[in-house]
Amino acid sequence: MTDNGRVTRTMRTRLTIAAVTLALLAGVTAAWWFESHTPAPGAATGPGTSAASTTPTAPASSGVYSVKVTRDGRLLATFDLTQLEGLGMKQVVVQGRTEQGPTLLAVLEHAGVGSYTSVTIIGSGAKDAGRLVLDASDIGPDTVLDIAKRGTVKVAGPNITYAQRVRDITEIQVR
Amino acid sequence: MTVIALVAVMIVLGKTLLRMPINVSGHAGVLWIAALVIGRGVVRRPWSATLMALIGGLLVAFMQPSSSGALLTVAKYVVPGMLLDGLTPLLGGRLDRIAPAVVAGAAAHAGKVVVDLVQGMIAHVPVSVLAVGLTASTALHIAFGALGGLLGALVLQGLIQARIPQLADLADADGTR
Repeated sequence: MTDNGRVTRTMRTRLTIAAVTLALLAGVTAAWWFESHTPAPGAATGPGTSAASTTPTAPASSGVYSVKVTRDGRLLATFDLTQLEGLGMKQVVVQGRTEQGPTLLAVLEHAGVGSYTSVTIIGSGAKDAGRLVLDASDIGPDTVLDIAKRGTVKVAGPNITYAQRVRDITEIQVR
Repeated sequence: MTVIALVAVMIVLGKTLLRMPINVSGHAGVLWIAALVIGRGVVRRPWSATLMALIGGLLVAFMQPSSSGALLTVAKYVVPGMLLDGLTPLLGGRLDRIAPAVVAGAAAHAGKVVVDLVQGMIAHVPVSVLAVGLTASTALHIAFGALGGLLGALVLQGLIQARIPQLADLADADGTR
């Protein structure tokens, strides 16, 4: 390679490094701007979702996080964060971590679920498998829907390993 | 092809073995980004990183099925692979150099954040929820990607010094002893 060619290549490399670095900084800045200008989860609540109400409502607006309970494709209930908290908070220690939220049994009971054989927990799948099937015998009083700081719930319990846990739960399918 | 397959397996191992319950976003990316950088540095073909990432992503999708489907799982690896393939020629084609490898690794891992966001939107997770912790997640992915790039560069330097056949010409070009 000639000296001129080598210099050109070196300049191009340096320019690319600078450009990518700036782009990454811009990306972080954009993420910060987006995060700081987006209302906190649960800030927008629809009618009938007061803190005192634990009655599940019709599907919440698209901007509010909620968990659906369904059976054979039929919607049984929808709970937003406030309603989930209203079902009673239980603390359990799982794998050395304290998880706190309503029990899965309480959620199913308030959704009007009677008998069932299994439950499929569906999440966004962004950071985990996004799907967990629990037999009725796996669900006990210590199986909770932990309310995370990001304003979503994840399932946790003594029978659920770290690798199995589902975060950002969007639906609970009952069979 | 051996290197490609090996890197693909390392992607799966990085995904499964290095995952720790420490709640630090993106930490598992150090190993598989390093593997991609090493693989791209050894197999100096235009689409080699994309191919390695595709095979690794397919293995992950097969071994750990996700509710969002195989396509998005594979995309989480293919997008960084494509970014790496696109940036490597612009960075002088030498991922054994620290600065290019760090920058390439950081950019590649940042691409995964974009796929995660798309996945969340497809799953109808509210935007307000997706925004929580986004800054920290982005910064951490970039940091761990940079670390993976650094690790990859150091390994490549060792391989060049060891004069493995695929990199013998680089060793000669550097006048490596």
